Amino acid sequence: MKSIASKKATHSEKITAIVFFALFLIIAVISIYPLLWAMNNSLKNPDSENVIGFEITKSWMFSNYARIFTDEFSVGGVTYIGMLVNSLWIVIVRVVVNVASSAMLAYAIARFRFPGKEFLYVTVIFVNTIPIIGSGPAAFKLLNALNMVNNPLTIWLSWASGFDFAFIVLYGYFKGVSSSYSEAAYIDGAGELKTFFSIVLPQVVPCLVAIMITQAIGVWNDYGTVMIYLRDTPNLAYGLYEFNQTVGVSRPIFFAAATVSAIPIIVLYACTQNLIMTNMTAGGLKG
Amino acid sequence: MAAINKIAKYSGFERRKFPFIYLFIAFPVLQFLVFWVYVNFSSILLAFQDGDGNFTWDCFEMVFRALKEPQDYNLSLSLWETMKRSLFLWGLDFFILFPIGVTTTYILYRRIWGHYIFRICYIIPSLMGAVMWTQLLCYMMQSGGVLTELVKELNIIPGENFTNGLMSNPKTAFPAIVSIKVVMSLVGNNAVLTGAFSRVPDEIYESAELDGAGFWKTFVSIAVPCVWSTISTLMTFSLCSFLTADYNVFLFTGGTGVNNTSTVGFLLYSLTLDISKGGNPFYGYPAALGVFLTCLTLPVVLIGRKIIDSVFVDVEM
Repeated sequence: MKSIASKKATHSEKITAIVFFALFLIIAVISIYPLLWAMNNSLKNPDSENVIGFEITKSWMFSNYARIFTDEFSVGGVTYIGMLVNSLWIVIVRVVVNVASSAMLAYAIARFRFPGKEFLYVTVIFVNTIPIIGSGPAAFKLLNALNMVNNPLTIWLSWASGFDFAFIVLYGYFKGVSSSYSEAAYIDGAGELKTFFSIVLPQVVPCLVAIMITQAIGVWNDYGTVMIYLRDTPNLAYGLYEFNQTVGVSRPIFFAAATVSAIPIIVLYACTQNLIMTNMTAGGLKG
Repeated sequence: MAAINKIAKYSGFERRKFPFIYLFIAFPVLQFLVFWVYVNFSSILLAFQDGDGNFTWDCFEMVFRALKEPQDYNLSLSLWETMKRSLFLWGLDFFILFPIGVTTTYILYRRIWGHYIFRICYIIPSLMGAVMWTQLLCYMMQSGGVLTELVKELNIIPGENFTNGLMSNPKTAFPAIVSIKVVMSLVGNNAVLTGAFSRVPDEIYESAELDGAGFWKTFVSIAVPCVWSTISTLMTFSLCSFLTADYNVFLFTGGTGVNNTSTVGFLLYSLTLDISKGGNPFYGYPAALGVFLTCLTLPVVLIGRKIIDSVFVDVEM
């Protein structure tokens, strides 16, 4: 397909491209400015400069970045490194159990005929399209009764929902995977599990990775769940919030920590953008 | 007998797979039964219970009182005022920002100059996450902060000095949240929509162009109908959150929702957080509020879905 901005584009397409390019440029500046502003202010000296103003730093205090890795930056005794580790394990566990759960359910419903299949499919659609509001306190009551609050060993059970958006994306993918390879594997004597792991799953890896990356971005930045259910195990998002609430906190250190925390996820997205774009699609909520 | 007939519909080959299938789905189904079915069922029950577990309508009476006047749980605004703010934010998102998002995604998909960089720039607010983004903006909106100085410089509200910053002023706090939402939501569904646009075969666009369709005609009459199933899915998700989105007010206001900024999403989150901190062990009010809001939302979602599904017929490609 020809680009809207190519030499072959029509006159009206070129005008559209110019107008939207200008608009995109403005939005891009608005989107990126807070990050650049934080980077600039993270290098300021709080004793001699306005750390929330426009001015470009004069001090270039790179030592502020070293200070976030000391005990100065800690929340409830957990240091920045500790929060980073917490963020990493929360992301890995939550994303893996959630996607695995969705993949198992989506594979079974998309590829097999069995009693209850339609009911399960309609239930997933119902859950995703009918809002049930205000169940947070009841969920907390249950998790508290099960001793899962502030318990990193068991909290993952509550994250492993297979009835979510990942199901909708994966269901479409499993439906689209040709069954001829699976049938050949059956003929060669492969069992169901071997067929799933060796034949079907490799064919949906790009889609799985795309879902995992998008979920990882959300989980990396999730402060709400951690604030309620894992307060003693702060991740970076919640830790930064708590650190910022502390009276007398050094703003440049907060800006340095915010910058360092944002960079890995921006790099991850920049490197995998095309993979995500070409493998994430959802449609067909008719149940 | 009926069950036997149902099983008989399946071939022997299929029946031999049943144990594997049920074992395979056992974990997600059990997880769903415990953490969705049980939780929601118990939430409904809690709405009709007092602190000792006895049946009562008191929780709903509290909700109806909260509609008219601020309750302790509801901070500075009545529930009705809170709902109006949530509705405003949802309407802005659904009717204005989402269509703009579809349009900008399509233009980026049609490879405008710098499309790759633009996509990364736009998603930076989402990638940075609500905490970092809002905390940085809160600093920018403090007295002496870059945004406060800008509003002063432009004299947007004449006579105001903003001595305590934009978020401490009831006139500017909510508009500031709205402005930030606009920036954060413009490209909210970029990844999913680009994936959908890229699945439309190039030949369809090319034949439309050969027939003389211009850029906008191709967009409205070809691209949008072709990806309608994705658009309608995203619109349905948005409908489901029509009263509960925007709990990030929590971050903007340090968990207080002051200066007329409270939204329903924020209120529900604050109530749960309050319970988790042991500040309020009474589950009935938030549960009743949830039942009340679900009853309000359900007809809107069902009617909305009907309308969305009737706009275009799904296109097979």
